[in-house]
Amino acid sequence: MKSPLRSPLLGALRCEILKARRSRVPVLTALGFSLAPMMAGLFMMIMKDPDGARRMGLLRAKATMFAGAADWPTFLGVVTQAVAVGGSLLFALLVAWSFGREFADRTLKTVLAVPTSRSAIVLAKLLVMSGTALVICVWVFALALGVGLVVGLPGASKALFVAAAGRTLLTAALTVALLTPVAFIAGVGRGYMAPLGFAILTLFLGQIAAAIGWGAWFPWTVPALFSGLAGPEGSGLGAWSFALVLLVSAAGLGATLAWWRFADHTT
Amino acid sequence: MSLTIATYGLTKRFGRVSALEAVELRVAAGEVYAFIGRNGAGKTTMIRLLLGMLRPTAGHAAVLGAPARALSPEHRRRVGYLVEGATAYPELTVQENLQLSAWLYSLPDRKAVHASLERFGLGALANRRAATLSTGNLQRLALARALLHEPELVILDEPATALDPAGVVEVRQLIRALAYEQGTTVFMSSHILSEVERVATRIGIVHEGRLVAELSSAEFDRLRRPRLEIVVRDCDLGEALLRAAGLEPVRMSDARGGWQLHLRGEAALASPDDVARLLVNGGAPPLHLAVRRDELEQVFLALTESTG
Repeated sequence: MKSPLRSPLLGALRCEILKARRSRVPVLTALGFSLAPMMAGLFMMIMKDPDGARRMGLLRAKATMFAGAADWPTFLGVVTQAVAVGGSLLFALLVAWSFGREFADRTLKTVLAVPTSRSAIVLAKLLVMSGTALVICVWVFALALGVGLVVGLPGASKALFVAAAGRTLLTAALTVALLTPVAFIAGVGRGYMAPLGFAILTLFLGQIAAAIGWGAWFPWTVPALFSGLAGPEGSGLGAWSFALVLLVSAAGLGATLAWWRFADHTT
Repeated sequence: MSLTIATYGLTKRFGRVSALEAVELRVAAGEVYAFIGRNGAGKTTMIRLLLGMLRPTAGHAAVLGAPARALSPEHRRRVGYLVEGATAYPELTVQENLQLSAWLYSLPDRKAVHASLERFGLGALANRRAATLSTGNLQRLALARALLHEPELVILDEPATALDPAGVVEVRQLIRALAYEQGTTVFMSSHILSEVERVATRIGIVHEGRLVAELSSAEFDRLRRPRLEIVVRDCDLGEALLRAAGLEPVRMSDARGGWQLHLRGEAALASPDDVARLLVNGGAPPLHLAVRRDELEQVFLALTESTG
């Protein structure tokens, strides 16, 4: 019997984990994401102490427009929304890097000749990048808790933290689920640029879909609506919205596997 | 004879462009088979077809007895591949790049990696990031990756490209050791013909997608036509003297940017002394006069020009 330690998927996972550990991309993505709770914390600080903020030359009106009230529920809501909106771009960057780098570094041909199946390689890349995205979310949430404590926000409760953590992780999971088409585009586009362009396009189209009231039907808007970006009543999400996300995710995974399996690789 | 590679009417077209046309190739176990041709002749396409990276338009290829298009992981484990133009993950160290291959080939990692580092003289560079390696060392790393799992068949796409002379010699010695000491079958594409003729047991010449000739060492020797090579100070005068004597000299540029006169006729080859005397008496004494045999380059040009 084949040892599980020698399974193709495990071998591919070890490779992708090593590449992710040695690369600056995940760290830079985490650093970029860290700005979200820090900015949200700054706005909370301004709203909590407007006189102090005015003395520092900071505008209170903008902070109010941005966040509403200076308390834990508002603050954690903003962080969750940042995960939804920022994640669709920054997590796409992770996947675009993981798949696109094989073209940019011209390592694809070597990868395609190894005995480890291409499906195992694709799954390993998606699993490691999804894991990285979720770790970044946990980090962002933990950082948000730290920032909130430093700012001294009112309205803390264990139930609120648990609910916010759950909502943030689910929002991240929905965002991550929508990354499979990005992986497919990285293959078809043979590099980083096309998948990043695709991520920007979906963000743009999501804005339009939300503006005309079709957000619940547009999969790339679902994480943002779920995060509470349109308010608790404004989401209009139904079971079909989440089913659409899963459908897009499955289609993206299938297309990526098929591309790696069947495409003529001519780079 | 056990065949390691066999192709049957192998054809690949990209749209209207024919990259390979009905290629019939047989490579026996333990051979060093060199597949040579000009840029765009179809060498890399052949390698991708053999590795199952491309689907043939017609015909099929078998590698280690299995269809190339559907090589099982067990078959892939028996094949090593060096991609044209050395590549590695730049942010990983030399050792980590090898480690990656060990995982992908399900090898007992540390032992194989350390053995490979020693074998390819990469021990001192083990902790250097691949991004900082010279082209020669990068190529050495790529070779180490291709051979890490001790394959039965090694497919090398332009293994000596971008190497300095010492590196070229190193690759030559490595190929010889693989084939003659370990019995590994080597299938290589190359355009460094002087290297090919030193290591190959058989040479396949591909031109515009067609296999125009397949030569064993003995056949190649027979095709190496002799010529009388002459260098004179006044090339115009020397040429005129030889023509006046009924010989047919061909003017060729030499490696130093000067000119040589080549004579291929039996009369000249039978009596080089008479040719020398003729030139001395005519006032164009030869600075160099020798009988040489064609190298692979001339054979290649003769074969591809006659079919082109």
